[in-house]
Amino acid sequence: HLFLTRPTQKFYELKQYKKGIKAADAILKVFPDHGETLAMKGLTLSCMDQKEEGVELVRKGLRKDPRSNVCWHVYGLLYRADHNYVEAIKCYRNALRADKENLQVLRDLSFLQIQMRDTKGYAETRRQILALRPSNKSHWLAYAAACHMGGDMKTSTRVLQAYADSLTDEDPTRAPYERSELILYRTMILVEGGDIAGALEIVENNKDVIVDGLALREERARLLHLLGRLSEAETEYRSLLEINCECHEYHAHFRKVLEEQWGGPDPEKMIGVYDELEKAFPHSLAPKRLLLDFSKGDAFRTRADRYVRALLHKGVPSLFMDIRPLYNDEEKVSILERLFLDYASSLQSNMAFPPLEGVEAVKETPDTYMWVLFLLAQHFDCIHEQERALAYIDEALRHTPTVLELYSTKALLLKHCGDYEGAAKIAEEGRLLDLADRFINTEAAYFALRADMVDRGEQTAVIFTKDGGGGEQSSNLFDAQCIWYETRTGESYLRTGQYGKALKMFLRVDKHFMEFVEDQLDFHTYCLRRGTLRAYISFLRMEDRLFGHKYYRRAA
Amino acid sequence: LFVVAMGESGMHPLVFTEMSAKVIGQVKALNAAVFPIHYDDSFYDSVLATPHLTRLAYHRGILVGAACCRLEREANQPSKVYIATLGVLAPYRSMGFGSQLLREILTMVQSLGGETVTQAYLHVQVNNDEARRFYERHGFCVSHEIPNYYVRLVPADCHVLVKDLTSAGPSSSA
Repeated sequence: HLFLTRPTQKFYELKQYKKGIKAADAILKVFPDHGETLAMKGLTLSCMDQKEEGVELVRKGLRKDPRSNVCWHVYGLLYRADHNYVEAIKCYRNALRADKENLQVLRDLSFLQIQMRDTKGYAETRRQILALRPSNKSHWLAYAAACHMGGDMKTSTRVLQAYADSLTDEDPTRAPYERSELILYRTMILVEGGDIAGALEIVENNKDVIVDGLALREERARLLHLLGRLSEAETEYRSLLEINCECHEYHAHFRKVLEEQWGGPDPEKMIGVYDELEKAFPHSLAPKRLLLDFSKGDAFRTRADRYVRALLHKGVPSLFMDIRPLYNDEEKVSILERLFLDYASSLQSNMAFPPLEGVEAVKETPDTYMWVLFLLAQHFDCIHEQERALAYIDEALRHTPTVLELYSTKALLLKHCGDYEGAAKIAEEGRLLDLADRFINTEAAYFALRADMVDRGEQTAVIFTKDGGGGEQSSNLFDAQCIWYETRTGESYLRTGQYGKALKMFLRVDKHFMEFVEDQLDFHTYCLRRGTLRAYISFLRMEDRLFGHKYYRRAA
Repeated sequence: LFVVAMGESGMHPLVFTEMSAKVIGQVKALNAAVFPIHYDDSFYDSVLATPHLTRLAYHRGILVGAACCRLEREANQPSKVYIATLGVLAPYRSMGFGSQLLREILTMVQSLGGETVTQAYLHVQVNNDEARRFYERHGFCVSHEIPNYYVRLVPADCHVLVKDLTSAGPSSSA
């Protein structure tokens, strides 16, 4: 039978559906009961928007030839297209009963199994695929990954070892990145399986293979730390900090390693270490910023004074967000407030900061005063003194009305005061300051939606879509998977009692997440680190359940 | 167009650009802060039609000054440039930014191909001594007065300040 269906199959794969139908019909004229042709024709029809007819035909084909693996496979494909994976899997299994070694069906089955997170089934299918075609590289990796996903680290390690050994015959300069990734993946699995020493060994023995130099060092440091070889780990982290002193992740690990060596946290010692780091890397911000976390009282005041005025002098708009974590400490908050207020009055009268030992006194440019006002506005907003905050932001706006950040901060402020319409208005004013700035556009759209001005929100958001506002705007936003927009619009409808429209919006969000999961199927063959990706996606779905569906249930 | 000029605050040179549609909101905000007159949309539309006759001045990434001009050609008359608006935000004055802006405009005007522009002129409210002195420092003179020029301001009269551009080289002494 195979060669009879071949032309139809070929046309289906090439997406030349009309030709496929013609070919199928030609065969059916002579063999009207040929199950497989009926099934293939049905499949083709289902791709041509004639789904019901297509399904009927496939069922007919199956009745005519219930042992045909092609028929079952096709039926499975139809179920899959309908996202009915449970039934699809059943069909594939039936197809395999007819033809145990059909690679295509095995592959399709494996995709669905992992989609449904049937890790055991997935691993077993993958093993079969590997056994059938061991010459294909990706089959090895897929099987190893499948075992990994199912928690069977030992088998996974063995598989990868065997695979790696087989590679030694190959030219070592070929595909350097893949080899490198393979090593790193093996270490990941070993660590998850608890064999950290083994992982380190692999890293050490394959130093030259790992092309991602940074990852190599990071891995070494991490593994040494896990093994309890603390002073070596410390050395590694110090060299990492030399490469990139701004990386807070390195700092966090570094501090942990130190504290473990000291037998617990020791703020005094930590300050000492970081004082040295600051001297070693005078241009780096991270040590200075971290010292603000560790110090208290007068020492904190001096350090904060130096840090903040330097950034104000530079005119860094994100200054407040940087120091915001300090606001959990009441004492620090009042120290900062005093500092900021002193800056403001000093700059206003002398165009200079108050004198500070060790810091050269310079005349500031006028914008520095504006940035202090900006900082004060954010400060008072954060400690819930909205009126004072508003006074400062308005003064800043009077001073230099051409600065975007002032508008978006004022919008946020007004929102905190509960004045959603005012917030939308000022955000829109800000947006007009720079029509090419996508961020302020998003903010303006967001505030409009928060104020339940849904049309305005949509009009604003579409400015940055493909067609820029003409025609079917909503569909462009949908294609862009603009989830924040859909969620906020949905919430707005919820507030105004338009539950039907709200539901529509949340369903769009749901669809996006389904797409995320769907799309992953195509990636996984190429992605060794799939494990991480998967965890991320489950996490996302969980978030989605929390966020979208909480409201979903209320709306229902 | 990006031109960088050294000014008194040599550490932070002014950066000049031409007006463009995407930042028109900034210019409107600036003009609203600087001038007592409101300029409506048709004004900005005509300005956008000739962006090369505008200059925006950025100090440390912030728009602090802007100037918009018009070329006027009457039949049988030599061309003149009319400075419609030229302003610097109040906190940023006395730093030489206005002078730089004006010099930018005059240089641009004199390097225009085609006709020679013989004169630059503008209107200043009669009580605005600061502005009048500024232009006088740059070689402008009060030519005459126009009573009731400003519909909504008090005083409503204005001075017309004129500078002859045909003399060799710009004469600015600020």
